Amino acid sequence: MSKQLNISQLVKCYGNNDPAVQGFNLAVEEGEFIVLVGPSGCGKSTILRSIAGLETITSGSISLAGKDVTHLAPAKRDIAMVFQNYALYPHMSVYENLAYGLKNRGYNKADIEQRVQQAAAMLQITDYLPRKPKALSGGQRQRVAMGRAMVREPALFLFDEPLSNLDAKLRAHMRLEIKKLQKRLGVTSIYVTHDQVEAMTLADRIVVLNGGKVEQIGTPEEIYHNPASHFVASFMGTPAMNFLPVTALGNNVVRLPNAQELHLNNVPNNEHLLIGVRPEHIDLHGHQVKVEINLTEELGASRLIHCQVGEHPLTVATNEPITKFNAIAFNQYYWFDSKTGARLGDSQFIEEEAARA
Amino acid sequence: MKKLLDHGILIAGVLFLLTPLYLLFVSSTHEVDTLIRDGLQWLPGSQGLAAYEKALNQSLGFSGEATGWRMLFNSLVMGLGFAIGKIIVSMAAAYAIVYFRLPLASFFFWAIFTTLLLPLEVRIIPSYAVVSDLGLLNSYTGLILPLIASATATFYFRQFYKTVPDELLEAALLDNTGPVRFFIDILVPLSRTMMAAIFIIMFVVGWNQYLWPLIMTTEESYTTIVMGLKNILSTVRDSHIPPYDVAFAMIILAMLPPVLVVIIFQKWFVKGLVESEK
Ligand SMILES: Nc1ncnc2c1ncn2[C@@H]1O[C@H](COP(=O)(O)OP(=O)(O)OP(=O)(O)O)[C@@H](O)[C@H]1O
Ligand SMILES: [Mg+2]
Repeated sequence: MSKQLNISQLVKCYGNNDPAVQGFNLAVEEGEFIVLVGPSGCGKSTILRSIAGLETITSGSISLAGKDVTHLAPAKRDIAMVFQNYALYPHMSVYENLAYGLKNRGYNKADIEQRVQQAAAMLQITDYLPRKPKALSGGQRQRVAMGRAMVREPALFLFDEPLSNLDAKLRAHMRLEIKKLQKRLGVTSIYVTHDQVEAMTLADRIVVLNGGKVEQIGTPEEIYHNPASHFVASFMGTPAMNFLPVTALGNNVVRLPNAQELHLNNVPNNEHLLIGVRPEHIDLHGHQVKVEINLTEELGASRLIHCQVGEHPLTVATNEPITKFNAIAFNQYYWFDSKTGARLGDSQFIEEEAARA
Repeated sequence: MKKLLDHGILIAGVLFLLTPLYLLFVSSTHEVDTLIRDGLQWLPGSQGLAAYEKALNQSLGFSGEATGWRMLFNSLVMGLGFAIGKIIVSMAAAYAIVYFRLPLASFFFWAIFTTLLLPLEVRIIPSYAVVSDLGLLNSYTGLILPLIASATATFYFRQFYKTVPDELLEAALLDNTGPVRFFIDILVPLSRTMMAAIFIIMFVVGWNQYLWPLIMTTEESYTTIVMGLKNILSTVRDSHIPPYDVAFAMIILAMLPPVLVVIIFQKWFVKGLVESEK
């Protein structure tokens, strides 16, 4: 196996509860940036902590750089972790924080000095080395936490929501920094977040989790353009995808929630049918689906128009200066089974065919 | 106006607490006769600090060993032994209870905790028997060791450790920190404030021990200052003149070290409170 990290059939149960993670598999290439994303409680942290060795796993195996680490102590695994609350040692200076792990591993003074200085220079925290963590801002602490992970040059970086304590602007900035740094160091990384924008921008590949199970693994493009399930489609993308329950009438005709009948492509022959349309895939000049406008949100470059199709909400994202319309068309849409949440068929571009009203 | 009232109340409180001390101090500079005839004095007398000289150097007992200096030293050993010993023992106990997956950890914790219901006075006879069987009567070890376990301090340290975020331990684990290193490098420095607080409390407790040393020691060289305070007035019977001036001086002397400890450690304590951040 040439994979850097290989996780197979990982199961983790806390006590006698239902498993928090059920049969997780993942193979990570060297230098890859993997993002685990999912709603709160879906098991992201559990997986990360299992990889770190901070949780003993119920079953399964983990190997890192060709070595089975399933039963190794955390310190023996050659990984470094950045925690959500940074977990810096409050009584040590920034320098000591960075040096502590090296000291415990028996590096000599000169070596430590050189590594710390190098990491500090890269993270631009050289000026703060003598300070205590409490004399730093959130963003600076974040960098120190990154520095503490970097100095050891581990085989794997683990990040557990490292940016969630920062304000929106700093978060966007640090996101970029992390991405740049990771590319520069080329260290394989696993990053946990529940922020799907973070996931999309950082990841080489995204793992979408739900209830301890993998929903989909894929590049950000795949996840966005080709979601494997209703859950993935609804979770990834802002504003979220619209879903309308429809009834298939045969001959590629469906009945919409507003009782309108519409001719679409490749309508699956399914009893419980859900059509998914991203807000940005809606054509305001389409004159096919009748809508009522409820509310307009101005976002500057674009605007969100919240409409209604029958009883069901539908959000439209547009950068056209249009605020009034009464019918739209779907440029691109997805079919789902509303019972199982499974994806049906392939995505299709709507053809310029007139709908039957 | 509000401020004036606040200050008025504070000043009244201070006077209420300090006046007796002032009376003691001022009276200790008078001759014994004056004290016996006229009672406590409000103005300084003619003797200066002569009573203190006597209190420190004159021996109370028969052997000549129980001088003031000696008694102060014994009390200091008791105070320091209590404070340091209790801090070490209870920190270690709390560390084991909080950080290790011991079988019956919470049982042990509650077992330690219930010893609060069994103060020395309740178990003084068995305690004495054990110490005596171990041949530790008339020794500092015997004075300190039987009382060194502290449920209160263990409880405080346990509560404190529980507030230390788990991530700190996890970060330390990833930094190749073993249990001993983690304790010394991380928990101990983080506990400084707590240690200062416990030190103050336990030093005073140790210093003020009366019943235990009274029972435990028969040799005068182990007399503590608190025992001395009692003894000095019982010498009445021999000389027929109770040496009140020396007794007063000794009371003041007995109070000084605990006050010093409180002042010194309070600074540290407050600094730790202001600075500490977990
Ligand atoms: N120590 C624990 N004991 C018992 N159950 C736990 C423990 N830690 C986590 N769990 C449970 O395991 C499940 C997964 O938790 P986990 O912390 O991995 O979620 P998460 O995806 O990281 O969520 P979040 O985004 O809120 O951090 C949750 O249902 C949680 O209640
Ligand atoms: Mg989490």
